[in-house]
Amino acid sequence: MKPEMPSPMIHFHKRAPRVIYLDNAATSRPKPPEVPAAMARFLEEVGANPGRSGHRLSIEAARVVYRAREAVAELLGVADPLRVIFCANATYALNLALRGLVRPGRHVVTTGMEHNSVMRPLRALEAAGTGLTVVDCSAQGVLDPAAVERALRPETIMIVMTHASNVVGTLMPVKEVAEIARAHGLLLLVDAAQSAGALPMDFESSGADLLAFTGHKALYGPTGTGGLLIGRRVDLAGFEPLTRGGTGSDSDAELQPEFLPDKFESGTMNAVGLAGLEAGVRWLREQGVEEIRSREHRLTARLLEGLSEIRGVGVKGTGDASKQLPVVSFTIAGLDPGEIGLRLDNEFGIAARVGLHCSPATHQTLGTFPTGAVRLSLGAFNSASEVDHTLRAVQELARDADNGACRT
Amino acid sequence: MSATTYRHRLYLVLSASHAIKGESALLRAGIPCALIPAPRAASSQCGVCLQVGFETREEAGDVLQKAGVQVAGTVDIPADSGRAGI
Ligand SMILES: Cc1ncc(COP(=O)(O)O)c(C=O)c1O
Repeated sequence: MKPEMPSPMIHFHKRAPRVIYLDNAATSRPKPPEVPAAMARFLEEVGANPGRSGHRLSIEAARVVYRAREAVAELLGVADPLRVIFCANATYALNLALRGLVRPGRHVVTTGMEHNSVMRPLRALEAAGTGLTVVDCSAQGVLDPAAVERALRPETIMIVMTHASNVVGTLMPVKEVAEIARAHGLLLLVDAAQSAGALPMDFESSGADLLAFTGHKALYGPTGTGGLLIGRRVDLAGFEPLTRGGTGSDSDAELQPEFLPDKFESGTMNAVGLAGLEAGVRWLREQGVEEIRSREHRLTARLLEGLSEIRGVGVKGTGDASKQLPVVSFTIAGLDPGEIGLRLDNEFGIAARVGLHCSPATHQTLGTFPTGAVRLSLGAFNSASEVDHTLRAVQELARDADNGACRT
Repeated sequence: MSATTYRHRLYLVLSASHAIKGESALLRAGIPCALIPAPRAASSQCGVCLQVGFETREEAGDVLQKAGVQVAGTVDIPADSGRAGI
């Protein structure tokens, strides 16, 4: 008889009846109930292809997509919703901006705190003849904007930087770098995968020209949603799309339309996902970004303080909750992060993320490469008692490690 | 021979996104409108267009312009055209 695959939920629940989910930096969980409800409603009541046909269901589907555009534009401070380009995730948005605008012979400056969704496309561009400078950050992950300015060359066209580290949550000096970019006539591309929705944001006054966001983290939407905000200083004529195809517009032309958002949105949109994203963003606005931020800030401070008091635990980053998002990484002397993650999950029902978090550059900066660290990332649904439970768990693991070290 | 009287103006737009953006701007301005399939003969653009009452055509045009909706053309529909109205 063929062995059956265990049902992940049953398997999971047997070991850990209640999960403390501290992996919100990977994707937020749970989603507000409005999100699955909006997605089900779309599938059951609309379910047509947005903007492809003139019938009422297709028009309604296009309205759903537009409402998501409007919601994101309002939340992130974009004057024109049509400058919100939807795509599958932040990774696609970053690839679109980098590969669409950067040419061989030009030069790009980035930081030592980037995710591989920035680094890998940049390394590929570098291999094809684009100059690249990675500006070092301090061992706490802090970037000196003056170092960015020093890295500029006559052929530099763009600065790319994360808004907040996905490993230690550090808020990067986007405003200061934006001033440098403006002063030198450069484009600034911001990776806001972690920060969009987690902080109040105003794209128009931020100084960023392009901003990549993802829908499934602090915007509380489903996976498969994300996008790129395109500012008015970006020359659209010189901006190549990554994909070309049907857009529902200009249908008698075999050339890709030049106008937004169609130029960059070929193929059927993830309308069901965007229905969920709109619901997530609306929920967020009702709760208040500031409100959630201040709650998360308090919990982060509690977590940082608690961890820093545990013998053998090394907290990475600045250790200052007001300078970061609710993303905290640590190591325990003498314990492999993989083992810590497994024990947190199996023995304490805590879902954390261990390893390099798709950010080898960041871990090199923090001195945790190649072993990595344990990351705990909070979201809107976490509580102080969950933080306290986690602190007790880490304390126990650290004590075991300490005892083990004494025995040998 | 009597002069043609018109019932509707159709605003042809670049894309479905522009159509929805236009609809949202018009409704916010209190101007009744409908999204309908664009007459193929008049449009090489997207499948839908914005239909407004002929008497609100000027006001609607201003609202669309202010909202940044790119209008690719207009078609005026005579009262006796037999087309369905809003
Ligand atoms: C800083 C940062 N950039 C980019 C990404 C990529 O986001 P996505 O997986 O949604 O493409 C992530 C998420 O993992 C991230 O944390």
